[in-house]
Amino acid sequence: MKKFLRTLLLPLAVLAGLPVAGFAQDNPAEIRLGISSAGVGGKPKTGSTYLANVHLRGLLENEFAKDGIKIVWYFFPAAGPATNEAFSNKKIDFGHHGDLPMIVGRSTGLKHKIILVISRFGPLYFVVPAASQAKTLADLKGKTISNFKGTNQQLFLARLLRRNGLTEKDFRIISQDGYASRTSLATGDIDGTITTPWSLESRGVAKRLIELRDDKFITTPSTLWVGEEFEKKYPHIVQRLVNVFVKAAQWSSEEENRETQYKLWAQSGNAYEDYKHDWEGSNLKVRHSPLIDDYYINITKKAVAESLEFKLIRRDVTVDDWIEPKYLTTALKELGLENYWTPLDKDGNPVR
Amino acid sequence: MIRKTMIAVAVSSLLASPSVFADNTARSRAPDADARAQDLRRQIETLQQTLDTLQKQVETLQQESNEKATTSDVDGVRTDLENYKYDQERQYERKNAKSMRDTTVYGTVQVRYSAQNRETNSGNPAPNGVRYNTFDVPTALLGVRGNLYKDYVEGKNLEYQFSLSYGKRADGSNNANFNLQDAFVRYNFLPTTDGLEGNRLTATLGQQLLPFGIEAQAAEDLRPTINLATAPSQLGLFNRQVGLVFRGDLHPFVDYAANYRAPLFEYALGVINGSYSNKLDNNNGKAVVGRGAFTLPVDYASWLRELKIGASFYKGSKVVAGTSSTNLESHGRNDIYGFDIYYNHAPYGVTYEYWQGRTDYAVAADSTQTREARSDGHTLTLFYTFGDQFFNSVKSAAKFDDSWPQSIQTFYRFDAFNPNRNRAVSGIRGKGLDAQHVHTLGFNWFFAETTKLQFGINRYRYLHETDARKDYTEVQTQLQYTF
Repeated sequence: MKKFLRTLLLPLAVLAGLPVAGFAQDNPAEIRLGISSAGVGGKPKTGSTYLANVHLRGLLENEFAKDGIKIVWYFFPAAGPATNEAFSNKKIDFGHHGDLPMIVGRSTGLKHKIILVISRFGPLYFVVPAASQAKTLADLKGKTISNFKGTNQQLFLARLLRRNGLTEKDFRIISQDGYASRTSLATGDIDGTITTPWSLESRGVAKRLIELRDDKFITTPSTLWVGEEFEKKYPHIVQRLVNVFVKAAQWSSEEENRETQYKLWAQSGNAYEDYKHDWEGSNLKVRHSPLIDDYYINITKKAVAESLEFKLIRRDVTVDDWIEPKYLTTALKELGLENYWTPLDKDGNPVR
Repeated sequence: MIRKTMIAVAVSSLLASPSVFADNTARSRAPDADARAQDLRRQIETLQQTLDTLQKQVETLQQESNEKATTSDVDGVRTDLENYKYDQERQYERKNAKSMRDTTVYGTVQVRYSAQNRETNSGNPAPNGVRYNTFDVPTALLGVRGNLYKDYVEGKNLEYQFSLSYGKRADGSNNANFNLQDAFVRYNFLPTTDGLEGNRLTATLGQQLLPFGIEAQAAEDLRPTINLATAPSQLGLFNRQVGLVFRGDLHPFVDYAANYRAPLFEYALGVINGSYSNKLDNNNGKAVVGRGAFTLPVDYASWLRELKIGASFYKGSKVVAGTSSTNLESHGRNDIYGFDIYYNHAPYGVTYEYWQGRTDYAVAADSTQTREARSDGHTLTLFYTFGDQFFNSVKSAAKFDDSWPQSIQTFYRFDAFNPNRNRAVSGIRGKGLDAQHVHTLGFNWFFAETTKLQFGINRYRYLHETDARKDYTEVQTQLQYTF
């Protein structure tokens, strides 16, 4: 009823010139986070990152409850573009993005600062119909490959093709969302796509042609950014939030919490076994590292160059002035984690 | 278990070995004995550590052994699965509505209350006595849509739509008809799976809404105000017509930041009967309808996004009836021209439309002459929305429950219509004597995913009042739900 009255009276109050905004505050009433993914069937839960652990363990809610600050999570099934749309319309304060949507958003004038790396590396699967005779990507020349244009997948595919001495022109590339491409694999209407293979393989309709594990230059890290306006207004809130995230990254990096994480992530609707497959042999400390190291900066610059090359952006994006490392630096110091994660050099090798 | 026991025995034997204690007793006298004792102690500690490790391994193995599924466990899961499969099949056979192709059932219902400060004798049916207010169900539409052929590779799909809408009979009875509204098939000539950058071209054959202006193209559930704009309503543009219409766009501007697609040029061109819904052509002249629109190619983040300028035309011929059912003109003029501006940058929105109609009429009921009535109308609507109704990201955000962003869209509309600027013709006074202005202030309260409560205060102002047509104020509230 209160919500109803507020919704009903707000326009009238504004029209009447009443001071509905209230007084200036040191703290925001709420912190709104936009996450560029969602669980199976549109569940507001995700997995695979320490950010998911922050959400699933209610860490931000615990941190800010004493101040009465509400935490609002938006999980967008429409992925990165939806996060950009929400930020353009001032609906979120923080955003979690893969590289391409974040770069495209920045190139169109969205003003935010990179404050944390959320995830890096992980598997990539190129999947073909079960009856496919192809042994390599080159065997698919001239055939139909599905790709979700405008998402990270577009860059992943371009990099994968380039590594194999191929280009998009060697294939017939069509754009489909994840659901359509998986259906098309089953019906044989496409000859390959990048997707997760497990449920398709268990149904016997597809198989892996390529499986890459923790490749440093095909998949790219994901990022947490904060809107410049929010950051300027509430730097102390940003710091507290980053502290929570870094602490969660440390918890997530501990081997003893591996299984617990898989179980948490399975709340997203993806199978526990799928996470086990995807993370098999992965070093938690490497994949959960929040460090904005030379590797991250280099790979992001490369992604910007590729986005320009593939005409996904019209204006260049500079990376160095986009990063705000002070919150991470302070968090590592305050939490005594300065030497916990090993930074990577520009080629992805450990620095020490 | 055997290994554990063996190690335990070995350690126990070592600890109990007489030589150890013998060396201990001699330790104070022989330094080499002390060293040997220390060495043995280290060996014991090492053995103890090994024992601990082995014990842990044994415990882990035991634990894992306990967690392994047995044949009975697997059988149990299989039974559950088979029960589930059976139940699914049973439900599908007995409980599910089926169709030959994938089909979506949809509908729109409007329930309205309106009151005005002057008595009225208009409406269907016309009141027998004085009426100031009434409840009404202006729209109840039921339809199905889906695809007849789905092209997974290129998306050159063949789609269909069929809908019926109730219409009150004009005979004063309590009966109603279900009239055919949409009945068409649509084919996509160009691929729709090439992302946002590809051009689009469709052909729609059958009874359909006309590609004219902004409001006339909007389906019932998407119209922003309770009352329709007067000019397109009077000129018949809201009537669905039968024919073949091509619609498409060229050179879309794509901003992948928000998957925003703004076609630089949109077009539509069609041939229709020109005799409105559910009729054969009433003469040998087909009507041609067309539209072109230009959208500013700017990023989604730009304040100029969704700024579109369009122009439309309708070139038709009509039968002008005279007295005694004689046709004065079988191909009389029936043309409409339109211009529109659309700007939607939530929370703000502005639409403006202009129409000009040129229509032949009999000069008078008993005349044998025809004359052209030149009508025109403008509608300007200003919107401001509180809430997230028009943000796709927030609307489509993942959620467990049936929550929906509550929004209130406030609006002001100015609507003007002059049915005849020329000299008077039968039933339509000339020189703008029947011109009217309508000012509307209202809001749409979106409180559930497909439901809105609409409210509007309409002030009708006749530029030349008569006894039968006096200025009045009307209050309307309408609940609209779609499914």
